[in-house]
Amino acid sequence: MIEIQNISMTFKSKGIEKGAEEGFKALDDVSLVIPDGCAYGFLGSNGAGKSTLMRMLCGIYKPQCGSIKIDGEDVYDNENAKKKIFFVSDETVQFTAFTLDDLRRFYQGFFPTFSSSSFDRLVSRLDLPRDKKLSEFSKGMKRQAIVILGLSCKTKYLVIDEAFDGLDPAMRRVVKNMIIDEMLDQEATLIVSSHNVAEMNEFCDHAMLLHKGRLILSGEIDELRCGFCKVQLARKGRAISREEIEDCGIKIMQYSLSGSMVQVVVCGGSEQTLNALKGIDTDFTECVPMTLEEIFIYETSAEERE
Amino acid sequence: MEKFKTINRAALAQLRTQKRFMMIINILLALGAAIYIFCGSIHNSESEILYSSLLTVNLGVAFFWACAILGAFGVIGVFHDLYNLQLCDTEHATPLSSSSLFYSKLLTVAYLHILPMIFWTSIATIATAIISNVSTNITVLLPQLLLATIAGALFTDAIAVVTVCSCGTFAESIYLSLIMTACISLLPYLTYSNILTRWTYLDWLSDKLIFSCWSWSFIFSNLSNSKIFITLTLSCIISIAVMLLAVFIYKRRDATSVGSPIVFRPYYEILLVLCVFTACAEGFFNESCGVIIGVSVMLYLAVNLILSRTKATLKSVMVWRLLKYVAGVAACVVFAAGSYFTGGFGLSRSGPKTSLDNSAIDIFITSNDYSEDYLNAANALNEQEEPILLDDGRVRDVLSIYDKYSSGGKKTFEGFYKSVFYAQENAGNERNLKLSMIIETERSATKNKLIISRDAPLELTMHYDEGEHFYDWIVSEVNISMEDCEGFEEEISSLDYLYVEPKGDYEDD
Repeated sequence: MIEIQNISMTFKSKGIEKGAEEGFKALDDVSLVIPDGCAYGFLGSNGAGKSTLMRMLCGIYKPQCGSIKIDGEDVYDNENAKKKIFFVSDETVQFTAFTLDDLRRFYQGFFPTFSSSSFDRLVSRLDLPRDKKLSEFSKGMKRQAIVILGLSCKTKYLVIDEAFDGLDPAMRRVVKNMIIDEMLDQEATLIVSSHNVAEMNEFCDHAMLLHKGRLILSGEIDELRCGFCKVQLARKGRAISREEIEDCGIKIMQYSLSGSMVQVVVCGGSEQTLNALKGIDTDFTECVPMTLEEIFIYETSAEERE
Repeated sequence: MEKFKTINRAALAQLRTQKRFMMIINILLALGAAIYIFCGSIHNSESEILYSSLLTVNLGVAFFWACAILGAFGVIGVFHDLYNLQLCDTEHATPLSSSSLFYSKLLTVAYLHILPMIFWTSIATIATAIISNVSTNITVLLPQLLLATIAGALFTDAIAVVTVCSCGTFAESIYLSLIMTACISLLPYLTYSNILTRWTYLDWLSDKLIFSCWSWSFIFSNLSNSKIFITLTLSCIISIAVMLLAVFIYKRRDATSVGSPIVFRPYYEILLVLCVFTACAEGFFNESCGVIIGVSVMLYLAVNLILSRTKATLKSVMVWRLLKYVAGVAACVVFAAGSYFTGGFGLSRSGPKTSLDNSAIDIFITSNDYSEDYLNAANALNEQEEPILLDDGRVRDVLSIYDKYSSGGKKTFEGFYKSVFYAQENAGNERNLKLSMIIETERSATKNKLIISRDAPLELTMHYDEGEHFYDWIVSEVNISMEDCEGFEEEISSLDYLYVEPKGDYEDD
């Protein structure tokens, strides 16, 4: 289990002069728990702090306050904790001078649990050339190569930043299935970040949403989805006002009126919301489940408004 | 043991990322070894080697020195996680603690640079010893050359390790490393030569080596200097200690420091102080003082501006940085004044520790344009026209007279100013006093029989049995006023064991 408690991170300005500004706050008091055996999605807009949090998780950045523990041990500068986690960065430029075999030998030197048989099998499955330098690979092939290395290290936790970036739809499916198969075999925990919320929705069972360094929501995806719904209401003659709905004890995240049709996004489950709306005289009421992407958009918009 | 295996495995993994550098360094070293063996095979004279400095003894050595300096680039390449964000992500995410990762990198540097240096210089040394046609006695000196190469490599690597750990960018790691290497190499030697011994009456050639310890200035020493082995060994030990201690800087860093030009602020401050002191130690005593100090100020401000990454204001640069420079110069002046008023912080009082028996002395006083000799004195001659070698007591009497007029009892701030800052306007009012002394010490006496004769009244020549050439030579030189010159002449002329050449007998040069 990974426990992240009250993590904050501020990047100071470079240069030797002491600048007046404090620097950029990348994370602000983030706390969450990543249970074992799950596929956890890190969601957020650009610059939200996902990559920063991932790097802190892997012991690359030292926590300025708070703590990150893997199975009860602090990660930073801890060999035992770091043995359990493999980080696949979103950048591959550092590997371009090497072939797959060079990288295999490199990682074998650092991870004693590296499995050459898994590596061989996965490389064959994706039909990647072993003797060509990664500079000759396409963007997608580079991502595949690094994911293969991560899976071959057989660590308990695998952290992949922008897992499917650069992959075509067919290859995305192949890589997803490959990851799922390998992670299930190892009973490992997968942590992935992506901008493609719809993809994370079908790939992960847990997710968290970061916006401007702050944690907006986290938990099982099904529970998150059940926490929001979209309601469409209509009444002839007189439009339903926002206040009428709020008077029913419903927290509105978004209210829009189009003619006599009102559409609101509310916090709360469908059943609970519909029960609360019985107090309003309507000609038409319908509750539509929300996708994770819609929740993402509405939550970040709400943060912006605040 | 398990820990070492982990570190070694990581070191070998990192070594594979440095294939290009490994290839270049080994090719250069192999070439150097081949040239060294060839040059060594054609040496015909031991004295040719013995009189050579480490710098010039053999062309192949130039390749070794180049490879030793190239090591800085190898070190900076190995520690790429400190200035490259992507590589930092990769390496700092590996299951190693920061200290283990650091030691694995040091081991990589050893595999990449130090071990090839040892290997190829050993090959060159052993092969030369086998095939060279010089006497077997020379082979005793060849390990000193091997050790010198390793000392140079370790010194360069140590500076590079500390620099790259203190900086977060590639450019700063390179040029600050070179600046630091130059300053640490030059400063002790300049401080000793220009400041400490300026106001002493003796220039201790052998003692200088202790100031060459842990710097590149040892390459100017002669192979025959007996203390060089100690100096080089000390240099290697200090370099290794510095590299190991750099772990404390490395451990303080994480990926957030990548991209910052200076991460460890004390390194930066020390570097600036060293630069100011080095510039002053040379500039003060050089006729191009203004140029040297001016250029150093501009470089100082330029480096500060570059490191501030455009966040500097006029106030911070012109006021604070310049004030710091001036403070450094003032500190150097205070240090020089301390040396002036105390005669090199007591060096002039310490005197030579070896016995000065059987010495031959030459004393010259010239004008600053060296067009005439004001005074010329040497050992008196016996009935057979041979110079009478002086005993320890008489030599020290001469030295005390020299001391009195060279460092003098009249220490004034005006005198300090004139002697520190090269004063061309006083050239006509000063004379150059030079004291040369050849001493046959116990060590040299066992190696040869020193025979000193004079072909002309004051022309000293030395002959040695068996062609060997070991001697100790002390030289000191200082500018004195006309008044002191006359006083010195009077006292020296009163010593019956010295022969003072009559005035008017000098030949023009």
